[in-house]
Amino acid sequence: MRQVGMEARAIATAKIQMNLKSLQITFQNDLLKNTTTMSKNITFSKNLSSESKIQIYQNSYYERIISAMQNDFPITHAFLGEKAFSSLVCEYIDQYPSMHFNLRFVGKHLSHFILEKDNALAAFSDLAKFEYLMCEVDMQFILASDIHFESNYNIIEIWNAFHAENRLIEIR
Amino acid sequence: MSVIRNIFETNQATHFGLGLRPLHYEEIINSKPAVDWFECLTEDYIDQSGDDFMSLEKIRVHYPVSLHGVSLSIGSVDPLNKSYLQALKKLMHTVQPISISDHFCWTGVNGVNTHDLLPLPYTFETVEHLVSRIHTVQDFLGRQIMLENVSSYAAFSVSDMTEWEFISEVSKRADCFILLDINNIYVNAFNHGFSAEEYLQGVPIDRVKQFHLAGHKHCQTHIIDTHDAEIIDDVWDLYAKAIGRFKNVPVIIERDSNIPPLSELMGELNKVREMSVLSWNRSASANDRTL
Repeated sequence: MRQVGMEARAIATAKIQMNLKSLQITFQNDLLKNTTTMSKNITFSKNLSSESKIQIYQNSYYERIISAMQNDFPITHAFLGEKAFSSLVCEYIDQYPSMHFNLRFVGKHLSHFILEKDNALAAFSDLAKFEYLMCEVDMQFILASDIHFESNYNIIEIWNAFHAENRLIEIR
Repeated sequence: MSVIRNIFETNQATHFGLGLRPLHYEEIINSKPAVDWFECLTEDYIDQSGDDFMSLEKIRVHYPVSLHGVSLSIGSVDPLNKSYLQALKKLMHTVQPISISDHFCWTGVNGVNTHDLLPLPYTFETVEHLVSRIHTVQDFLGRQIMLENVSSYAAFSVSDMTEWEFISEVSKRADCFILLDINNIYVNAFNHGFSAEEYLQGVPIDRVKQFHLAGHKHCQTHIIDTHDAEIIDDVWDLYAKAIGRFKNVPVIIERDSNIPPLSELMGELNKVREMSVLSWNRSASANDRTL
C-alpha cells in the first residue's frame, strides 16, 4: 500500500511539474535537437517505444522541410544531389529553424548559410539566392543588375537553361 | 461574445467536397466537375497573390469554398500570431468561405514553427488554454471556427481525459465546432489502443459540422497519416457508423501527396454520396415507421 501511495504521489508530482509550457518546450527541443527527453512523459504501448514515437515526429519534421526546400530550390537540389542536399537542409534548419507561419519562407537564409559554411561554395549560395527570389511572387520581373552575386558564374543563364530543359522534358 | 453565426447549417447543395489541389486547377476551371464545394489550404492563398490565388479566384466563381488552415497553432503557449490572424481575416473577406477551420494542436513554441500538427496533452489546463484562445480568435474573425482532431503518434501520461472528451469539452465551452476526421480517429485508435466506435459515441452530435476522409500508411507497429493513398475499407466502415450517428454532415476527401487524377477522387466522392444517401434513406424509412 505504501508503495502504491508513493507511486501515486510521484505521478501527481510529475503532472504538476509537466505543465503545458514545459511540455511544449521539451517536446520541441526533442524535435530540433534529436533527443528523446520527453519519452518518460509519453504513455507506454507494447508495439512502439516512447523513443520511437518521438522519432516519428523528428523524421516528419525534417522530411517536411526537405520536401518544401526541394520544391523551392530545384536547381540547387539537382546540382547537389539527393543526399548532399538533404544533409545541407538538415544542417541549415538546425541553425535557422522556421519562424514564419508560411512554409514558403523557410529557405530565406539558405544562401547566407551556404556562404557562411564555406566561401568556396559561393556559386551554390548565388544559386540559392536566385532561386529564393524567384519563389517570391512579385519577383518574376526582377532586374539582374539589382542582384549581388558572390561568384563569377552566370546564375541567371543556369536558371534559364534548367527551366528550359524542364519544359523540353515536359513536351516530350 | 459577439460572434456572428456562420452558415454551418449546410444543406445537400454543399455536402460533398474535395480538397483543392494545384494539380486539378485547370481541369476544375475547364470542366466544372460535379463537386459541391472545395476546401482550400489557407496558407496557399493567404498572401492573395500569385498563380494559386488567381486560380482560386476563377474557381470560386463557380463553387463555394472553405478555408482549412494549419498555422493557427491554437494550442501553443506562444501568443496568438497577430499577423497570421490579420491575413486570415483579409482572406476571409475576399473569398467568403462557407467555413474556417484549423486543428486541435500546436505547431511550435518560442517563435519556432515546426510546420507539423503536434499533439496536445488532454489536461484541464489545456482545455482552459484552448477555450480562451478560441474565444479570442472567434471574436477577432467575427465568426465561429471549426477545429479538426489530428492524428498522433504519441500520447502524454499527464492527460486527465480521453481525446474525445477533450475535443468535446473544448468545443462546448468555446462554442466552436468540430471537424471530425474519420481517418484520424482510425489512426489514433490503432496507435493508442482505444475504440474508434467509443470515440464516435463520445462526441456531441450538435458540435460536428464536417467530416474529413483520407488514406494512410500502415507500418504494422503504427499508422502514419500520410493522405497519399485511397481510403481503406475499415475507414469506410467507420464513416458508415459516423453518418449513422451524426446524420447530415458535409464531407471532404483530402489527398495531399501522390495526388491522383481528379476522376479518381470523383470516384471516391461518388462512393461517399451513395453511402450518405443510403444512410439518409434508411433514417427516413425508420422515421416513417415510427410515425
